Amino acid sequence: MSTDLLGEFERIVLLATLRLGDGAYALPIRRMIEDVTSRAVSRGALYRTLDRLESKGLVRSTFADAGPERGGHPLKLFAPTVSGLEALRRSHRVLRSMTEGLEDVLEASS
Amino acid sequence: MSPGVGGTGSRGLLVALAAGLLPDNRSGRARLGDLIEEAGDLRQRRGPTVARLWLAAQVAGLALTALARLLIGPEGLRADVRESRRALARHPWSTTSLVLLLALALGAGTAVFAVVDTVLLRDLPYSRPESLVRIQATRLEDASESFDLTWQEVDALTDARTLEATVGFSVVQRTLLDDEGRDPRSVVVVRSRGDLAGLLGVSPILGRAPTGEEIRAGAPVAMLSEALWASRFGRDPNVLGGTLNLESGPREVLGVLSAAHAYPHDADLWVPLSPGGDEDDDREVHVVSRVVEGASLSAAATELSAVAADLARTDPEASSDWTLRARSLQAAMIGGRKAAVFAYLGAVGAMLLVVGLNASHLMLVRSAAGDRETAIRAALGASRWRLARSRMVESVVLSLIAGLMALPFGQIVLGWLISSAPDLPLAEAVRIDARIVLATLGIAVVSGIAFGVLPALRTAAVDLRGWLAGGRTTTRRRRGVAGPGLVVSEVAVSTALVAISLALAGTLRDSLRYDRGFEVDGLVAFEVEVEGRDTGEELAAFFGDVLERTRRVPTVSAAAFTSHPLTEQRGLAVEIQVDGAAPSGTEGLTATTRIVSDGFFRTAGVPLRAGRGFEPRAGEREPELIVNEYFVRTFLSGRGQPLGANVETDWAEGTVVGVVGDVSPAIREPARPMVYLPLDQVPLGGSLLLVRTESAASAVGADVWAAINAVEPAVVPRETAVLANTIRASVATERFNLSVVGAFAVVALLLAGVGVFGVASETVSVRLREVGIRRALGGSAGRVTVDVLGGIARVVAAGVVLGILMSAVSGRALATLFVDTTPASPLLQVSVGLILATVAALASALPLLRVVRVSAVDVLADE
Repeated sequence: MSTDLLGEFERIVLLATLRLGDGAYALPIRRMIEDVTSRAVSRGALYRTLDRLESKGLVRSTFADAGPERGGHPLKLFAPTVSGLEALRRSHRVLRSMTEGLEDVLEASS
Repeated sequence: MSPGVGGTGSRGLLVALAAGLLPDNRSGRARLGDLIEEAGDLRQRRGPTVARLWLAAQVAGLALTALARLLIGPEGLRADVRESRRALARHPWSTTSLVLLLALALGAGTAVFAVVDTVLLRDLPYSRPESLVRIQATRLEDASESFDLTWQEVDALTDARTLEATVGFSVVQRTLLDDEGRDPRSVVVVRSRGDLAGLLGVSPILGRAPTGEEIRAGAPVAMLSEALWASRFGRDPNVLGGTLNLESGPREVLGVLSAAHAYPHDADLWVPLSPGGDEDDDREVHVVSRVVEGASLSAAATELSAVAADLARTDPEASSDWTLRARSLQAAMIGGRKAAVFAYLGAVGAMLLVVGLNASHLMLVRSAAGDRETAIRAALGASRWRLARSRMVESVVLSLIAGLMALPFGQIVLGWLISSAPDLPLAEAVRIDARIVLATLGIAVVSGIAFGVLPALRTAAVDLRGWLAGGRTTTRRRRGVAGPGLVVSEVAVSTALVAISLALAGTLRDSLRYDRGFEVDGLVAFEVEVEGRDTGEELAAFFGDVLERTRRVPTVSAAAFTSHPLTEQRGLAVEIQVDGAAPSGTEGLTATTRIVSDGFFRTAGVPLRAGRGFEPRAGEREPELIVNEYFVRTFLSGRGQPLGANVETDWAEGTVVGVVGDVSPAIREPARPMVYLPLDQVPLGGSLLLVRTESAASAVGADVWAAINAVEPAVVPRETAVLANTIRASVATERFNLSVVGAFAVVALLLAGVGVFGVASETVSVRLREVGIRRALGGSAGRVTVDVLGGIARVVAAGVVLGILMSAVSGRALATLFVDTTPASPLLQVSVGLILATVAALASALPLLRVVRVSAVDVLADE
């Protein structure tokens, strides 16, 4: 298991898979990130990040059959692994302890 | 592949290509599924064209990635890049000219891509843009033309269940004055009932939008456009809370709306419409709605038809002929400009093609110069693939440099496109952003690969043994490095572009020379809004006095009032009865009515065909009217003599006292049956004063306004319209199309010239030795000159023939894009041929001069 901290985009992708639950494949993951961040996400970057997360053992993937709207091609569904959840928790803890006491600055509406 | 997978036609092909480019495993197939699903989604929201373009872009991206993987072999790309840097530095002149050439073409491409991206591919810059629709009315019997709504129809929409919010607004011209009441400037004012900014989901860049209460009360407040804020107030933030001195009344400035978010994009001011301010039945309400989340556009359309049917039941008089329909706001905004945008794309594509061919040709010449080095490297063990690859990398590096240089140039071209394109939708939102930069660099890489293929193949096929054995001239070189194919294609593409621009020029000339049925030159129109005179007598006295005073102005040769501008065909459409009954065979036909004063036909230069014009009248007289020839043909053909017929319209009646010529303001707007009514019979509150002058329009303006103000000081001077200018502006689209295609044609022609120059100088250098020997033996250079010229003539002739064929095909496509493009005439094709021949002659002049000047000594010393 890697003890490195997650990169910003990695963390967002992991959180999106967690939020989407059973329906987490590349398209809804990208849409969710775009909706929340209001920024365009490149397809290539997302696929690369998912591959990297999988090779680090932070997500696992399964394939599911799909209908004609996908030309009969399968869905590749992602879900965080135990290590992935642990990495998220660690990253969250770090963020929380780093932001403690700074709420005035960070939560002020600009 | 199963039938459901690919679909048909180009979409199926694209999906198949994507399948080939993605890895052949489950992950790759899942990714393909993602692509298909997203394309299907896009197809539903934005139509099949956009979906196909998007899919094509994705496939291009996949191809680039695959190619990069292929190119970076075990030996690595870095060595290749290092080598190519050396190679480029070895030929500084040809490198510079190649880079400049490509940068120009890619720069023009960048600008056009930015326009295409914003106009066709990107969502509108409003919140949830897919749910925004524009609602328009069409006639039940003829849905081809769309009209705005009446306020009555807008009110009927408030209960629609599929519409979340609806805002109606009318657009009017008003006069803005400075604080001292001077410096009049015409502004476009959007008077809305409802929160337009809220509906679109845009907030002002400065200040705030009007509150719901202010909108309901029709408060005297306004939002400024960014353009007006900049031009009138120098972007001063203190403008907020200040007062705008509009001639119709003062208004407080609340905020400034950014240019990118302005809707409609040419508006200067947004103001709430005062209640009861605009209750007439005119079709002048522009309506934008938001479809409720979850409801489809077709559900909204069904409900709209039901609303229209309801209206027709409750008020058959006003509404029975009409129905309502909704179009996505994006489609409504792009509308007719889509064709033109595709045409720009075509022109850029053609230019890139010519540039690519040229670059390919120059690279081939360079690679021939590097044959010796190639042979040495091959002898030292470099594989042919490796050698070819380094050529390829060289051209990709070259075009990447050009791609970077293209960006600032593209910004300049884009500035020109935006400032000179008439009615380009979303013009303010067009930017060269990261996507466009990536697209440009992507295209640079692709074109680098494309024009690097031939030199790479040539390098791989070079005759190594011949070189190492000390040979000098390969057979390939005697034929010329590139062969004539490249130059023939260059000449063909530029011929086609020149032919198309000449055809567009012809269209423009036809529009300008078109006989509109009145004399355009010397006509000036003044918009006069009368206030404070309500009765018919007061108005008639006002118009009479103004005409009398205006006609006394020395520079004015004739003056008259008209209800509608001559440059437009609109007017009130009425049904017609002649001598008490509708003439047989005219059911459903209408005539347009215009109200004009005495002296109108003489002032406008509309010829009188029979009878007389209107005359100044005193006291009660029989009602009279004048009709045009079209009217006579349509409604009075059954009657021997048009004069004396009793004609009844929906709201006026009179005896025909004159017949005048037809007026049609533009080629696309043919003449209509027209009924002219005399102004003293039907007085109007607002009118156009039409003045004919022999001197400059600017000189007559002040005098005429003075004459009007002498009668009524309260009339505010507005902009005056010089009709010739209005007509010039009305062909702005034609002019712009011509300038875009024309500019590309000139560039293509120059490039074809460069290509011909290349062929000529190559032929000459190959034959130079022979010439020198001939000269040494006392022969003339004549034979060689004839040979060279003959070779070039063949190349040019083949190119011209091919190009004319291409323009004939593309001409047909163009005719559908630009309505009135006339097909290329034989004369046109001959002139294109002559232009190309002249370019070819000029391009071969310099190389031929070498033939004449060559001396035997030089050639033999070179041996």
